[in-house]
Amino acid sequence: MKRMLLSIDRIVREVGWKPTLSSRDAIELTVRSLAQELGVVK
Amino acid sequence: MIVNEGASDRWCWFHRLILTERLVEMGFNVVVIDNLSSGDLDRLRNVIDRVKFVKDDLKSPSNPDVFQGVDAVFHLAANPEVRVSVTEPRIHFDENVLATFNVLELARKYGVRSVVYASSSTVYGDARVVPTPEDHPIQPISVYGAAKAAGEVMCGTYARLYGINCVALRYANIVGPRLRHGVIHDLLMKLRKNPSELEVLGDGTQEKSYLYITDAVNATLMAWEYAVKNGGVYIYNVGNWDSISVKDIVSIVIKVTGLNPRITYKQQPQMVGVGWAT
Repeated sequence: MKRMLLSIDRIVREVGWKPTLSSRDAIELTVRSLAQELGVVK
Repeated sequence: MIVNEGASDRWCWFHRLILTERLVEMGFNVVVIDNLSSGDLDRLRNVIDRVKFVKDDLKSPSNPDVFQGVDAVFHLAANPEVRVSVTEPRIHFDENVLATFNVLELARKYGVRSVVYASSSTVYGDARVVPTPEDHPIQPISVYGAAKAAGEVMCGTYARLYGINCVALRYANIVGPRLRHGVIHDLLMKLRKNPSELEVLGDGTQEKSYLYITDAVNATLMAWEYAVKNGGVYIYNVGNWDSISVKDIVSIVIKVTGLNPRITYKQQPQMVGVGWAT
């Protein structure tokens, strides 16, 4: 299994930014938007 | 404030567009430069009456004076087609390396104080350390990744030589509304064509990290503000804490669409040089 993940410790520590949505939530929100945009809903 | 290639049809055009919208909302005077080679102006319709749009090609800029009086450049213009970079390296040299050099030269000539450079996680190639930190060796496995790495080095050099504050951001996979590339778009397009069948490339176990567009734009703006405030050159990864497998993405697609297709996983040979690219 291949896994690609960046360490974001530096930007969190220095800049104070951090993501508000997990990868899973980001994917789900995007799927909901695109399914509507592309007309792919049951 | 300049954002280049704001309407392009390429993989992260929506990132550029949403960044442009945010900068306008924040009250900045924004100049958008795009050659419209693969985009159309209609995509900027929400902000077109509030930005100055300049059609130009950064490989050979013909309107350099638009950099006059500009405080910051968000250099997002690039050819992100990783597969093309493997088969047509010259295109990527021209559109990524040469264009970046031209932007930096104009920034130097016109006294621009800060440059935000959109780099990529592809600079790491097949990383040996996961999660991958910024000080991991740069060993790209695509010409695209090499071009992004070259751009980072040039930005850093211009920062040290000419005092331009520079921040290079190595983005993971960015997703959100209006996305028109990658695994989510591909799966939905397949279901639109045939709601009863869904072919998934690979064995579904591969995991990648995804970042929502608003988080990516916030990271871009906050990193820029940090560089302006503190001066110098900075490199940051911009990604997420977690990752998600293709199988889990398929499950979300099925749940959201309410469809019940027959799912098949199709093994395919690894595309040389692709790595992080979706």
